[in-house]
Order: sequence, then structure tokens, then C-alpha cells
Amino acid sequence: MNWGGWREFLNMGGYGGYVWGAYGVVALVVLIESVAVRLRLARALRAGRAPRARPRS
Amino acid sequence: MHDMTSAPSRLRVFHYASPPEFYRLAGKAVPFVAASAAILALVGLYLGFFVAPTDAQQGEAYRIMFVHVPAAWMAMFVYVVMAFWAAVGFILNTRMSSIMASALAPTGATMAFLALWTGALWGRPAWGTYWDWDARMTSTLILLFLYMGFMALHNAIDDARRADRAAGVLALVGVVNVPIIYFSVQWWNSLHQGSSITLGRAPTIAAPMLAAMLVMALAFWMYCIAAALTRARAIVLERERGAEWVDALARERA
Repeated sequence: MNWGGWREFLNMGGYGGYVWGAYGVVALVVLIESVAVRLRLARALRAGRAPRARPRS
Repeated sequence: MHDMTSAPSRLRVFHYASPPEFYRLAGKAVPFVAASAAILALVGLYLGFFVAPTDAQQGEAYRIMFVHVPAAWMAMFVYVVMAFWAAVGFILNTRMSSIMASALAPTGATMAFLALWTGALWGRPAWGTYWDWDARMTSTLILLFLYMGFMALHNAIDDARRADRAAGVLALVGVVNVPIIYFSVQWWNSLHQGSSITLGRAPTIAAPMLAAMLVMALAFWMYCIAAALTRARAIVLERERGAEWVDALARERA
């Protein structure tokens, strides 16, 4: 364990802005991409219906 | 000699390479891959923030390494895998291979961007500058542009198969950039530090730091697989729109 409390953890020995700026953007970008690929899949599935119902044979 | 066994197994590979079969299998794999990415990330973050000690030279700023190095590794690795599938699609004319290449490009671009971003935020406290036009950083920026060029070129051509071939050529030409990135810190005098981990040599960082970095690297790897497979499934549906199996699937979900 490296930290004496939340304040110390967030401060990161004075480098808090750099460390959390890096981790924060990684988390944000990963979250955005995860949501984006799922939305694309859902959209592709919705659009997947053939334009006109084929006559059943 | 192994004709009896190799013939059916080869057929099986082509069976899985059919878009409907890929869609089904990838759909089964993704939840497990994504879950392992999440679990590995939690373990890696715990190791990185609570087990790995403060660095004697860089203080706490070095903890950026646990996301920077995995992102940089994946940016290079995803490119090689993308170029491999582009080449297979080019040579064998297999649709799924080119779809895999297209599915990997945005994730690779994401990794390249994250490597640059986290590198800038690490560079400022470590070297006193966010950016330097040195070999490592410039070649990584070119990697990001190669991914973006691949996507732009693919989007610019309406016919999907022609787009696959044109963007595939770009992906293959761009492969030369990957060894340039990897060896840049040895070939040129660079602000960027050398590798802490080199194949066949003992790592130069403490064991808990190494563990945190490797677990995070696995997490990033699993994440890239999950993201690329999900995107590939979407591309399969987009390209096969109107096909009977896609139509049936869409109606079933509606």
C-alpha cells in the first residue's frame, strides 16, 4: 500500500494532473469505443432486414 | 501423410471463415473476451497503484507507464495483425479477412492515439516537454496517420471489395513503419527512453512494476480483440444486408 489516504492518492506525489489526465482519457476513449461498436452492431442488425419481404416458398 | 486429418480441418477453417459462421462464433466469444479484459484491467490497476512502489527517479508520474506501454504495444501489434489480414484478403480474396482488417483499423488508431496522449503526459514530468519531433514519437504519429489513411481510403471507395484491395495495399506498404517505431530508440539518438522489456533479456524494472504492466498489456489485448470482433460482426451485417440469414436474424430480433 502506497497511500496515506484519498487526498494523497489523488495527488500522486504532485503528478496528479498528469497521471489522472492519462488514465482519465484512456478510460473515456475505451468507453466511447465500446459504446460505439455496440451501437454500430445494433444499427446494422436493425438495418439488416431485406427491403421487401420475400415470398415464402 | 496426414491427408486424412488435414483435409477436413482445412475445410473447417473455411467453414468458420464464412460470414454467418463468423458472426455466430464471434458473438459467443466476445462476452468472455470483454469480461476477461475488465477483470485483467482491475487486477492491473490494483497492482499498478497499490502494489508497485514509487519510482526512485520519476516519483508517481511513472505510473502512466501501465497504460502507456500497453497502448503503444497494441498500436504496433494491431497494425501488424491488420496488415496480415489485409494481405490474406488480397491474396486469397477471402471476404472475412478484409473485414477483419477493416474492423481492426479504428481500434489500432485508438491505441496509437492513447499511446501518444499518455506519452505526452508522461513526457512533460519526465523530460520537461509534451512533445518532441524525435524518431519514436514521429513514427508513432505516422502510425496513427496510417490507420486514419486506411479508414479514409476505405470510406472513399463505394465498392467494398475494391475498397478492401486499395486500403489493403496501403496497410501493407505501411508495415515498414512498425520496425521503425520498435527500433527507433536504438537506431536514433532519442529523448524517449529505451525499452524496459526486451525479448531474451532480463527486464530492467522491478517485479511488481513488471507484473502490473504485463497484466495491463493483457487487458489491452483482450479489449482490442473484443472491440475488433464486435466491429467485424457489425461490418458483416452491413455488407451482407439483404442476405437471407441477415434478414432472418433482424426479424428474429425485431
